[in-house]
Amino acid sequence: MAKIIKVGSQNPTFTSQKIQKASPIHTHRNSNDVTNPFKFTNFEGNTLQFADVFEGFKPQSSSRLRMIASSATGTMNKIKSAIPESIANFVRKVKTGVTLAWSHVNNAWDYAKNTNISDVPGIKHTKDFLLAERHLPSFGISISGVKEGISSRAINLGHSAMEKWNGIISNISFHGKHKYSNMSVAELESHLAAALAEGGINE
Amino acid sequence: MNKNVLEIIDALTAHEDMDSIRVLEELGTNSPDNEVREYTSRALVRKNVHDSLKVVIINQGKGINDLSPAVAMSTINEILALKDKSEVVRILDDTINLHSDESVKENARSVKSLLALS
Repeated sequence: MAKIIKVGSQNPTFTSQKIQKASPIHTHRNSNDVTNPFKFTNFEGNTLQFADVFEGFKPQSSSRLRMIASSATGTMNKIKSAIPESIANFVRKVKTGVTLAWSHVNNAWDYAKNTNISDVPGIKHTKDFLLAERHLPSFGISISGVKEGISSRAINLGHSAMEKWNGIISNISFHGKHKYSNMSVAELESHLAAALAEGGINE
Repeated sequence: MNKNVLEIIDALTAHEDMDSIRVLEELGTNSPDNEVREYTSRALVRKNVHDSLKVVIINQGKGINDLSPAVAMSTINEILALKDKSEVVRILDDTINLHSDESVKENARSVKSLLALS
């Protein structure tokens, strides 16, 4: 049976100096500090030749940047969700009512009819924000002036949107000049009856 | 696409003879085809005269009171696109005040509200 011998007593090269060097407490690294934990490990006298994979890892600077970026993104998201979402909800509510079915149109209309443009949630909040007393001194204008400005802007917005819509509608060409344009109503009536009998607009 | 129907309706729309409104009402707004009804209703609105607007506003099942949402919405869009809305507002007021059918009155009221919003 083999004798169990202490490693230190049999190997003369394994001195106390070597043990001291391997100890994590007394390990001393050179000025060119390396983060590879295997670099100083000696396996039978051979230093591992792997590259230092942790080289260039600088956590401090990037984490600070990341913190600033995330806080800025959070603020932006808060602002985004506070104002436009409620306007979008208002539009969606009307749109859904209009498109679902004719029976629902009245409800959507009633909602639109009974909701003043300045009371639409997003606009209302913006107005409240602008009208808050703490902001007025910096503007140097009266409450009624701000109110009037907001109302007139909302009305102008509605009018310009309507004008654009009317422009689009009026740009759709209305064909009046064709072979039927010089016919009498009686002739047109007979032609229309015949055309409808053929199968309506779609052939 | 049968262009003939569209062109005849266009010709009737442009026609100065008021009898064209009767033809459009009888053949167009009574058609079983949704597209024909839609196109005719829009044509009647575009004429923008008392008799043509009356057809699409006060009649049950025609124009804004059509059972097809597509026809009703197209008619409303055409009304909203009118440059001169004085006649249509007058008819809507009369319908709201005097019509016997509650649903027709309600639709007229809703269109008037939309006009006020626009």
